[in-house]
Amino acid sequence: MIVGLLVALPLTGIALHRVGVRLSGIARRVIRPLLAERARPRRLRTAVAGFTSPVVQLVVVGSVGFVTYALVAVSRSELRRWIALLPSKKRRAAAAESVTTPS
Amino acid sequence: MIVGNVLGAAALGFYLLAFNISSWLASSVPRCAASPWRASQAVGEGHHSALGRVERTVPLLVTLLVPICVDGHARQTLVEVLFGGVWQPAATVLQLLMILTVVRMLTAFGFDILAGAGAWKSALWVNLGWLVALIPALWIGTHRGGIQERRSRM
Repeated sequence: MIVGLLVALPLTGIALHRVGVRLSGIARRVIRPLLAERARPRRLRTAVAGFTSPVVQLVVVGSVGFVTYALVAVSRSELRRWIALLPSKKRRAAAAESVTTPS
Repeated sequence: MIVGNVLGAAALGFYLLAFNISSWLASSVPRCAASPWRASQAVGEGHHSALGRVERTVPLLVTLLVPICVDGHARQTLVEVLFGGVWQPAATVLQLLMILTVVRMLTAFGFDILAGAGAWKSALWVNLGWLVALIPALWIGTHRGGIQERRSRM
C-alpha cells in the first residue's frame, strides 16, 4: 500500500502530466469526496446494532451511508459533468458510422 | 509467495481471502472507467477532448471508490455474512488491501491513458518503478508490523 501511494501513484501522475493531463484540476475535484467520507453518519452503526441479522445491518448501513456521502460529495455541477460523460445518441451514431465506413 | 513463506498457511489463507475480496472491485470497475478514453478515440475526438474526458472521469472514479474502500464496519460485516465469523481476521488485512486496490485501479486507468496516448515508455517506467520498490517493501512489511502483527493477534 505504501509503495502504491508513495511510488506508483506519483510516477503515474508524472507520466500523465507529461502526456498533457492537468492534474491540478483532478486534485481539486477529488478533495471534496475525500472530505465527504468523514460526513457519513457514524452513529448509524450503533443504531442498527438492534438488527440481529448482519445482512440487514450491511444493507441499512451501506445504503444510508452511501446516500449521505453522495449528497455531500457530489456537487450539482459535478453531477452535470458526469451525466455528460454518458454516451449520447449522437456519439453512439458517430461511433457506429466510423466502424461501418471503410477507411 | 513472500507472505506464504514468512507467515505460514493459516495467515496466507486469510490474506488470500482478503486479496480476493479486494479484487472484486478491481475486476469490475476499470473496464467501465477505461471506456471514456477508448470511446473518445473511437469516435475520433481530438487528443485534448479525450484528455478533458479523462480529467472528468478520474474524480468520478475516486468518488465511487472512496466509500466502498474506507467503510470498516461494512467490510467486517461483509466477511461475516459471506464467509462466517471464522474468517474475521481477513477483514483487518482487507482494510489495507482495499486502499491498495484503489491505487491499482487508478494506476491501471493511468496506464490505459498512457497507452492510448502512445506513451508506452512512460507506462513501462511506471511499472518497473513499482516492481522494483514492491518486492523489498513487501518483504519488510511482512516481517515488521502489518501482517505479522495481525498474525500474532490471531
